[in-house]
Amino acid sequence: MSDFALNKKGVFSSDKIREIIPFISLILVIIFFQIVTGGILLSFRNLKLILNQSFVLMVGSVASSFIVAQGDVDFSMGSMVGITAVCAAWVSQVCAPLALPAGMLIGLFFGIINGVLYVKCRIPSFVVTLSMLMVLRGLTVFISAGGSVSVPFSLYDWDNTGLKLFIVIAVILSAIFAFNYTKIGKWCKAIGSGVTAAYQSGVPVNKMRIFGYALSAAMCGLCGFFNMVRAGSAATNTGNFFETDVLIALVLGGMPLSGGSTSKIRCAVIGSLTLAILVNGFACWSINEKLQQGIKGVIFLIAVWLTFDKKNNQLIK
Amino acid sequence: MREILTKRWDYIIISMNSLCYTLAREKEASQRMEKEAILTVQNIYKDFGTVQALKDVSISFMPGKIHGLIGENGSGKSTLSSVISGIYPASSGNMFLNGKEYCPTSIIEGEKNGICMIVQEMGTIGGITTAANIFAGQENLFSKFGIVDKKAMTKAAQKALDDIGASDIDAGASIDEESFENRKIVEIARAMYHPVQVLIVDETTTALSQKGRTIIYKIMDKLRTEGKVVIFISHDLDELTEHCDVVTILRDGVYIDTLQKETIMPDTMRRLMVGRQIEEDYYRNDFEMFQPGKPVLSITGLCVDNTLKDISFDLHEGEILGIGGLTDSGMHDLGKLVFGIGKPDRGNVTFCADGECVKSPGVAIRHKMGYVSKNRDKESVLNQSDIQDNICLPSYDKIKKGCYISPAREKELATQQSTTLQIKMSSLRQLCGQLSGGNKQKVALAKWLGNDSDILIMDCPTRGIDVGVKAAIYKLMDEYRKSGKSILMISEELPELIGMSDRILILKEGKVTKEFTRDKKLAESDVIRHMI
Repeated sequence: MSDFALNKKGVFSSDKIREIIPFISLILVIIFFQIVTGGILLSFRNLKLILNQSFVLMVGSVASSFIVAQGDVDFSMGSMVGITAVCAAWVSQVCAPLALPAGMLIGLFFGIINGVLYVKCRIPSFVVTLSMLMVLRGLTVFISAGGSVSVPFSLYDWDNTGLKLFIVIAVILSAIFAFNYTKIGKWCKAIGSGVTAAYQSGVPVNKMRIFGYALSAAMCGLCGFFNMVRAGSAATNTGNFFETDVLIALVLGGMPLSGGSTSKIRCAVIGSLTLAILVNGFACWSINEKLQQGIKGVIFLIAVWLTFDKKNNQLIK
Repeated sequence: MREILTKRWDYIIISMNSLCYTLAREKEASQRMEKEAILTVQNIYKDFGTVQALKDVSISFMPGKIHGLIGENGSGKSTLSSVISGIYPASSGNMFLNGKEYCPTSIIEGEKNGICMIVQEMGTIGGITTAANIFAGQENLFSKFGIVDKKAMTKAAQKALDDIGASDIDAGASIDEESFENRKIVEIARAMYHPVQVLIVDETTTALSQKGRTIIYKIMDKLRTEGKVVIFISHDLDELTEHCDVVTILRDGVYIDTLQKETIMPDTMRRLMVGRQIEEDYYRNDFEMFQPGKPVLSITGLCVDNTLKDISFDLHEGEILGIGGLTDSGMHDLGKLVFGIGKPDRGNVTFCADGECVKSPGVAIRHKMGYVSKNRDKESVLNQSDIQDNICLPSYDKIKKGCYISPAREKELATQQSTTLQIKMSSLRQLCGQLSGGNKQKVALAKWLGNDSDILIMDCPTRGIDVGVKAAIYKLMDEYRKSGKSILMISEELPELIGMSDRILILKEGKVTKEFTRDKKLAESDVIRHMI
């Protein structure tokens, strides 16, 4: 009897509320913009637009979930998208079909460098990835000679909503599988819960960290490629602020940035959708684009305030 | 008729009067009690989500008494002391300090009221000086216009340390340079700086050697003669018998009994704590000559700069090999090295079956080895993960099919292990951090038993664990041994080493100084002689 009463009480505990907030805020955002834009938000044409806009964000935040679950953050994602886009554009001028694999391989390469610097040289991960953010941005500007690199017409077919929908669903499903039902995900969460204890239970911590950064960067390669085909060219500013967008999306979705067992792929998906709809909604509502960056910052603050468990002290390790 | 009624009426009035009289007397008595007691807790309840930690606990703490508080892990001792010191509020109930209602909202407020606590786990702040630690939160005592006078603070801190007989600690130096033990002493100095009415000593003595203990005992005696209250929490029943005037027993968050000086006896306390009779001797009772089986693990010429010097031994099938020594003898590092954590400068740990060297925990686990660390909260369990994830963590290779780990099989493994070990929990989804120390230790063991480990390295397997769980763990170790598996037990407790091991290796300053074989007549004094 008393057990029942306690369980019932548990349903409304603060933890549960924290889990529901992202859902509720997504629904509220949809309802709000549906009303203020007079129904434009949920029109078929706009939904297609939202998918195209959120595709890159969704793939990026799902991929980075594996590193965030470990309690680390990848700040280099923006430049990673930039450099892979430019490199893929170069490659596409020589041999178009090789552009996507080339972008992903280059991402993988830099991702492994991120991981190795962190693990082997023992430099804190946020220092490594922040430095990488600057180094790669510089490199991008240098190799594209300050301008933009254009893409052959044959690649324009890749900017296809159906294909993107397929890829995004495939990425989400395989991420959910890997995250919940394989060693990879379990290990990532264990590292986030406690590195030492995880290591002593046989989790190959170093390998998982390198894997996390490699995965995040390789998927940035994918994002870079689709950014490039959508824009028709790769420029020096491709992917700017991508890392902050991913971070905002994750927090909006309720992902704990300190990692651990409460991390879920769901958070990345819901968060990206919320952010994409917010940005799209502001555009439909004709809010000045220059104002949007500021609004995003405010939203980030509010999201952290609402979803972050203040008792478990640290936000980022 | 009327007469009868009047009579009845009279009777009622008389009985009412006597009732009032009794009530008044009782009230008077209770007021007197409250006047006498420095601190009274009344009908305290405390729950953490679904876990009821305290249920209707009422205790009066009398002046000039050392008041012992005992109970198994999870019985609510630490919760009660945290409520008293203001770390968190009770869910319901009252507290009275010197007859006035007392409900602290923070530990600082508790300290202002003269209630100080020395906690079980580390309570100092790293990276700053010892003096800064002693006066953390009270810097304004030494500040003028917002600038802290460090010299005056260091001087006052040194005096505080001298006062409690720890003048060897330098108040000006960084706290990180001090040993674990000295840091505990710094905490005591901090607690003692202000006039103390109630001092709570929460399992501090387990972490301390004789020097630290003497300091604590001296302080406790001093407070007793001054007519203050000491609340003393410990698992060491002999220590309690020796020092306490009153002992209160808690079990599962419920008040059980309070014993006065003459009636405090280890046996009685043990019985009341567990609620059933526990045999005096819960170690193994066989003393036949051990016939070593095949060697399973061979350690040859292990050297690590400064800590270990040329250690060699074999671990056999069905053997409990005890390793004893002082905390800094290198035995804890030895345990880690054998499991592949860290690299030795020279020497090898090899599995006798296939000759493979242990290079990492991964290799060790693949060969069915398990390691239970001394540092339970940081190293052996994931406090922020649930019990199921903790138990299954090393066994994913065992339960996966292809690369798929089915939730059903995870649950099956966790259920099976938690039932065998009788882990006290609300569900498999409960966070490990909410469990008591003894149950966390059970989870750490369940992890390795679930992976069918053949070799277990246990570093201080019963550190800070109550008698009930202790007995269960010893029984488990005995059964494990009998099934032909091997245990490397590193322990700081001599009775445990002597009572459980087939062989004992004594380490001193990184060298093996003596090997004992199992013997009923082996005395603690013989063993100690080789340790120091």
